[in-house]
Amino acid sequence: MEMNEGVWSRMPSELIERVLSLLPVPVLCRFRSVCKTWRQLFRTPSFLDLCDRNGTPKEYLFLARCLSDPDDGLVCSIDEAMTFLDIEAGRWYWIKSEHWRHYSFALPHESSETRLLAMDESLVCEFTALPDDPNKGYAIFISDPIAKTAAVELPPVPSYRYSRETSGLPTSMTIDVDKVAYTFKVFLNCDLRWYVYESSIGVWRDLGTIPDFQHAEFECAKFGV
Amino acid sequence: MHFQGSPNMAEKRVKLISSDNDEFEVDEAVAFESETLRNMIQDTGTNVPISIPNVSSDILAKVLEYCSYHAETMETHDDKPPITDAQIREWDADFVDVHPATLYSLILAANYLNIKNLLDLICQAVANNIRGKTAVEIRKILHIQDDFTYEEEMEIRRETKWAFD
Repeated sequence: MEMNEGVWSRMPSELIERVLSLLPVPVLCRFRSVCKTWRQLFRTPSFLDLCDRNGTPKEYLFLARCLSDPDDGLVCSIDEAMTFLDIEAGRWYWIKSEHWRHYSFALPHESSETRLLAMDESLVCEFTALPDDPNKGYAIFISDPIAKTAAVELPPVPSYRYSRETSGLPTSMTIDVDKVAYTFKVFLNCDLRWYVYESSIGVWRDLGTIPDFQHAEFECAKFGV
Repeated sequence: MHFQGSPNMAEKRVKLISSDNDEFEVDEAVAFESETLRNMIQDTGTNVPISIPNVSSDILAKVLEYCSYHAETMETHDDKPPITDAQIREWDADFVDVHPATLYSLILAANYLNIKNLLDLICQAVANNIRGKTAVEIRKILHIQDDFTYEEEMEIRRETKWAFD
């Protein structure tokens, strides 16, 4: 099918938007140079919602850059650059995002003792040393820095005691938010065992060891910052 | 023109009139693939012919061909094996393999008649077609005026250089 016919120029804009919402992110990036209207459209929340609904889910993994600010401790910011991974092609992309909505925030428990950080949707999950804890213990906190809700501490993993004294601090952590059900899951990897916390039931479960090491790497790549 | 939905079921029939005054008669189940027609039938019943003033007879015939096939895939027959998803995908791919002008009329008709699956199918076909095109080709197809200065366009290319490889 060759589309170089005049008829398409009369296509209503809602249908054009519907077609565009089906395109992969790299193609949309290229089409930003078509005209000012399209460039504006690709950062309109309603269009991004449409992409969310119509596009292939989880085709791309977005990562925000996490920067260390000498004055304010650890600051997460997406104003510098967006990085994303095309899973199928195994290719990394970045967008210089000065035109994207800018936000940066300080983490509720930010300190040099924050060992692991994970993000999904607007939730930030932090594995960090407990401030003022004489036993020098660690805890996991969930917060929404954009909505500025208070940080929630997750209960400790029952069968695993992470502490500075034993060498066994978790090696990776991911968070997965279900924005429809408004629940989240936290996956924690300690000593090659995976644990999952489900907010819907409020308890940790031991998932055992996952023999496929590539999976562990994939999860780290997905949420690592 | 007659489209068979389910011959073994005594279903209500619906009369449709195209913009060029051709009359079509289909099973209610076929018409119900269209959200617009479903609403009209629920309002006025099946006794009155429904006129579709902005869809011509050749396009309406294509649309009803799609609707009757998809209504049929929903039915189960004891004597026939069910239609597989792979078969439906193949049928759909053939269906949108038409002249661009026809595809354009179909997208407008699917939008007006609110047939979500057909609209998704055609939008995907158009998306597949334009995804490999350059910004210049897109402007030509959609008659879009290039309103960037040379400097602005270079800036966009610098921001996402990899997208132009």
